[in-house]
Amino acid sequence: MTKKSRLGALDPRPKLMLMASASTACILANDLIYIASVLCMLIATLLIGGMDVRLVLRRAKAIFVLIAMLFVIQTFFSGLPYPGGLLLAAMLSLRLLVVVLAGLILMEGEVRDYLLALVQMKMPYTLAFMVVVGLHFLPILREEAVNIYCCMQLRGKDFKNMKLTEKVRAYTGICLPILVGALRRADEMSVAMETRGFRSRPSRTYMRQLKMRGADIALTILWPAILVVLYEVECVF
Amino acid sequence: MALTARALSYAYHKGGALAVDDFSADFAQGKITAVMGPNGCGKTTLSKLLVGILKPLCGEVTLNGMALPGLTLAETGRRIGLVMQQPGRQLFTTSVTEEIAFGLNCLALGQEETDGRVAKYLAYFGLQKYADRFPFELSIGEQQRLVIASVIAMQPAYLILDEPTSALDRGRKDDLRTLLRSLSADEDVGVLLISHDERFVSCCADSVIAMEKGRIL
Repeated sequence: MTKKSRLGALDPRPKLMLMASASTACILANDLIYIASVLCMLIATLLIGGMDVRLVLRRAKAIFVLIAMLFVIQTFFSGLPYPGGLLLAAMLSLRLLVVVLAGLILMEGEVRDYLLALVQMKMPYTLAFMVVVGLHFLPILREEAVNIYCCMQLRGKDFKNMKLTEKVRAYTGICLPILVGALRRADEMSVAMETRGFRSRPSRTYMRQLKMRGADIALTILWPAILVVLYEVECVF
Repeated sequence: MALTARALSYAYHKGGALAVDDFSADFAQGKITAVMGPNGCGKTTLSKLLVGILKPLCGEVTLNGMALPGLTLAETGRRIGLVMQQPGRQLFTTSVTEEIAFGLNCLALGQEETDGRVAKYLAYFGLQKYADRFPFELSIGEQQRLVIASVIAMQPAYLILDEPTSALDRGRKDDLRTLLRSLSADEDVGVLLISHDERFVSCCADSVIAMEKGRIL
């Protein structure tokens, strides 16, 4: 059994709360310093929580590159005079970074724990199950996209020597089989689940119940509280 | 012309077990070579290494003495056709005719040549009545025939088929066997057949390579 990080050992509910509160605060806020402060707090939480920084960088590499590109494009093409464009680009990029890093916190933990947490937060089991299964299938969709991309190339589609418009058209062709495959899989899966007795009883009982400990309660209260205090401080200054 | 694998090794995870371990073989043109072995012995990984979808940890694949890393996947696909398992994951157009014509259009063949080849392979694989149908509406066996037809229509010098008979009935298997024999004998195509179907392999292959745990036995 692999050793859990501090974040991994936490109850899933404070992590869901942290993700939701940090993302929402940064989307609603319109102040660069506030967003930067939230980002610093988030990075500190990840580091203190023992998250593997190299793993984070590896998994979200593509998104970080995308954010950097967005920063450059916004800086030069926003049409605002200096430093307006730069500030806008910084704000958008930091906001995205907060959303991505907050989402990465959920990597630390077991999928079944999140399912249990959602149910204990009074979400209907069927809905919670669908959310978790949806998350579980994301890597498979990515794998399928890569597979179809390779198949198209092996049938002669040369993506490397294409104009941008042709490339966009070719990439949309990849979406069709993924969509059809996903719908078909969902259909087959629902039948398979029902034949194995899913929802055959009106209510479920759970052998394991999640319990909030001191650190969980502290994180659940502290994060939203700090976000509110920071916002008030920013308003004053 | 020869497709050669030299000391190929591959692992899916760094430091993990080798899926293909020191694999070397020559696949001659005009011959049907079968690769057989238990589940998880590395047959499918080998097929992906041979066309360049996966990059080997060590060793190399050469086609006529030219190393594959020097070619793009599109360039490789014109020389080596690959039919993977799970046909539903290799279809990407909105009609059966378009699916066969996709590769031919990428080869920039003339309209007459494209139409001729599409008609020929639709007829050979018994797909004429589905010509305008959405490929995803077909049964698995029909999809498998469609994928094989689409790849063979490009007339590659080498053909790699990964479990091509898994969803075919006896009659279709016989048709495929006849086609593969004719491709290898008359058109000098080198065929690499990855299969569990011992009966099909014994009737079809000129030579057999047995694999276990990524190595040749």
